[in-house]
Amino acid sequence: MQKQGPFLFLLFLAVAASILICTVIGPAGIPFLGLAGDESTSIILFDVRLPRVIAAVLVGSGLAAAGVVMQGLFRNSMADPYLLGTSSGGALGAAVAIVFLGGAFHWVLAFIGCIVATFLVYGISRQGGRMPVEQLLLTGIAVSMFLSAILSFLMYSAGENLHQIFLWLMGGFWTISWQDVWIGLLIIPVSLLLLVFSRELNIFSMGEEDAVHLGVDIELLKKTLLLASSFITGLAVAVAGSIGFIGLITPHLMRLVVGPDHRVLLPASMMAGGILLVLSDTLARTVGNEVPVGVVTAFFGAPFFIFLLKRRYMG
Amino acid sequence: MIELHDVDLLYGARVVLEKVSFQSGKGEFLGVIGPNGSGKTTLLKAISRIVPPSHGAILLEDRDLGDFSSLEFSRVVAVVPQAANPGFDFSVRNVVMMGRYPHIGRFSSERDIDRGVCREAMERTGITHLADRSIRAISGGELQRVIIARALAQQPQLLLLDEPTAHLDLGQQIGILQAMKEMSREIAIIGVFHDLNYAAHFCDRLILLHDHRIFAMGDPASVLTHDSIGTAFGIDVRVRKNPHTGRPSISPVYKPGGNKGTCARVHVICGGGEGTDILQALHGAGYQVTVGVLSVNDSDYLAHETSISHASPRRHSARLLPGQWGNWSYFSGTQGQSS
Repeated sequence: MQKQGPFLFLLFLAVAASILICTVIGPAGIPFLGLAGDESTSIILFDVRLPRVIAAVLVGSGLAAAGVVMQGLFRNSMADPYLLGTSSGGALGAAVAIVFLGGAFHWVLAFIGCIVATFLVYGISRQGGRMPVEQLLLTGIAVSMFLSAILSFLMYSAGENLHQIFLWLMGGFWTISWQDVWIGLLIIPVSLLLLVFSRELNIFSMGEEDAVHLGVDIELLKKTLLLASSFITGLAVAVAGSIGFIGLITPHLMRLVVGPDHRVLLPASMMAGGILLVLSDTLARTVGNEVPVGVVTAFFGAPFFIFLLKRRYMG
Repeated sequence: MIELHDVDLLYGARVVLEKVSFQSGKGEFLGVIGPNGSGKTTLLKAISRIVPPSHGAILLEDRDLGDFSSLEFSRVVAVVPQAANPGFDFSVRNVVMMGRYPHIGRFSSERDIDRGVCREAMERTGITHLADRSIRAISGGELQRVIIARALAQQPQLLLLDEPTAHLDLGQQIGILQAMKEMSREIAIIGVFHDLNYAAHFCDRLILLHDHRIFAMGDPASVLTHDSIGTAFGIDVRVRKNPHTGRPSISPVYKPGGNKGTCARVHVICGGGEGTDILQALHGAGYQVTVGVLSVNDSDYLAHETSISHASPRRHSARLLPGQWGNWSYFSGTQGQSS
């Protein structure tokens, strides 16, 4: 673990550098020297770009943290934060807000949707105080499909709101304000809670029964990690919609670099996830006319995922 | 240390074991044997709190198993499961260190004493040279030793082994079992065995499970008899006393096969065990075999007797020739029991 200290510090510097660089890059083209400039420059920098950049870092790190936890819990590096129906729940919540409330409170409903979906999965898969991981996984798929069906129906009958729902589904940061940043900041303390359980998560990833033999209270662990990670995912989805691939690929990538020890993997993935998402978003807003960031992450993420899959089966 | 009183174990609604009572303590290597599905693993799972008993009580150091907290329990009892299936590629050193979890706690970090205990556990299981390798890049046998080292790092008072040698080659099997045998002087060990000879050799006491209950319990010689093994496993075996160790040694009697219906008769002149192999081979190939002259206690006599008792009555023409001294014996194959 000591060996990884310098690497984590480097990552931290990279996060800071990304925030700085991505804030000064943009279609308005404000150079470094323009920092001291007129009022409109300062508005673009501090009320448009900076909150957007910080929100992207927070959401990216949150998704990566939730991804690390899901992969550890399911002992599978192909798991992602949306595995248990969180994104479907969030999407449905947002769609309900867009269709019935004209878009008001859509982030509140998205968050509620995420949490409700998780509780639903959690409640269904509990069997006499225990919660088998396979059961969770299958219930998650079923609940996801059910919520997606309702979402599809809403979209089908949404009429002129369809475009808005569609944009939300792809995920993006174009409406970000400082208020969203404050919401996103909640991701940090909950992730620290996850860090407290990282040694247990290490043991748990050796197998559920092994973890019991080594004295881990696995039901408490599963409960805490699931709720905390769905809370984080819910916040991330509420702020920026369901952005794919960051939560799947970042933990995988960092595992290759720092190894599987969650005490290192979790902070490393959070920082790397933040960097990846802020870079993707910067690309999204500078290339063309505001491409949704979900398109960018999927465009680069999917081929990379296939590369990882291939690599996995070739040993 | 560990006591089971009248314990019933269910798997779903199916009864696996009924009315199981025994106790074991420090200094004993207790072996659990029995055919597949007889509940060996379930019994271990009951002692390790994975499967709660539906009836009866299990006491550890005079306290009910349920009274222990997870951490407290894993400081006393360690388990080496049948198959390890690591999800990610942790280093061997990291995995062994996981055994220290019940001693370290959540908020503190590894101390020198933890590293020392791990080093010793790795030395004991002969995996020190693998310390920095990934557990997904080592062989099944090495992984098994890593898991045993992890269990030793827990510094348990009771060690539960579920077929500890399942993935090991012959040399490693003996090595691990000898290490366990040494360990059993300081702690209590309960191990599930498939190999009856290992159970006979390494265990101080055996429990034979059959028909949902403890079929036989006691020292290896009293449990591993021709009849008890025959009943529990449904096969015919030859039980001899290993002249080196004094422990029972079990070998199956192979059914005759091939060359059926031959009428050739063979008389074998042998003694002192030199003819055992050829006698079994001839019987196995379906020849009518006579042997002699032999003493009743001669190992060739026993080999012949066992083979005949197994052959079909149609071919029971084999006989031993009587000798002229009192200790010699006449034996006709028709007296043997056919299976």
